[in-house]
Amino acid sequence: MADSRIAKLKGVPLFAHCTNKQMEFIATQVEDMEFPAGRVLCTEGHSGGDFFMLLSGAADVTRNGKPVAKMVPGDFFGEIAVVDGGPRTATVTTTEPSRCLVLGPRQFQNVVHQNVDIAHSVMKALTLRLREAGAAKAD
Amino acid sequence: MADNNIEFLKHVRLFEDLDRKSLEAIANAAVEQSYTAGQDIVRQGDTGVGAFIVKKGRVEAFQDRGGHMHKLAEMKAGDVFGEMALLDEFPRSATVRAVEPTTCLGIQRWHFRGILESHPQIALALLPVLTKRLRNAEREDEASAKH
Repeated sequence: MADSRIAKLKGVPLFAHCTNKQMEFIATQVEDMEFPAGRVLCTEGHSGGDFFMLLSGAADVTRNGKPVAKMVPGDFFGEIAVVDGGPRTATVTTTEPSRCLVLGPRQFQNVVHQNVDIAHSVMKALTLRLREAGAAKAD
Repeated sequence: MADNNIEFLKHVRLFEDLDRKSLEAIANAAVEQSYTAGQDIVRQGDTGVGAFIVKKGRVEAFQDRGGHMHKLAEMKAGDVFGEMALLDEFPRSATVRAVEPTTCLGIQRWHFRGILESHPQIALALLPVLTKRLRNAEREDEASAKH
């Protein structure tokens, strides 16, 4: 059973550079959850919460009621609130039956400690959003 | 020389949450470089290879917007620019020019990567710094969108 959990982790881009040993540990931290279509996974403005990696399905990201992105398998979201416990910057709602690996704040810290590539990928995602925020300002 | 750079880095806001060991690693990887007044330190459109911290002097950031040079900011000792190039390979979004004789500490992306590997606590300390900056940037966006 542990093997099938690790096999699942291997398909997650965020863990692409992890060793088998790190995967074994990560497998003990993540929760594998299934959601029906239309389920709200994060609500804009609500404090704190979990970090999600989409394994299958799809989800819409909205801010102030306006669509800002679509999540596809391999994408992750919730990294800001899981890091600082602050309010969610967007609402994420599944648009089809979806499966996610979920990490709580504590588990997220544990996993990031395992392999710096994970922290690096999350930092890169944050940087990209910072660029987008900066670009919007320059317009 | 690395020693006085550690003291200096301690006061750089981006690194304020780092412990001495982490600062030491960054100070060791940093390359000090001097620029004359009027010299470009980075040019808009070039692929960024790393971040700069102004150690001495004064610099100005400009953005070319359809042929018009638009001044974005003036930076002095302790200010950091180009830091996003530590994490990605986008073209520089602005030109930064020395206004007076200036000394900068440069940190290159591949060095930073190595530092993160040997000092994972830096990544952990920088994550909340990044989320804070992002929240501020997005709040400003929203405020300006309302006007």
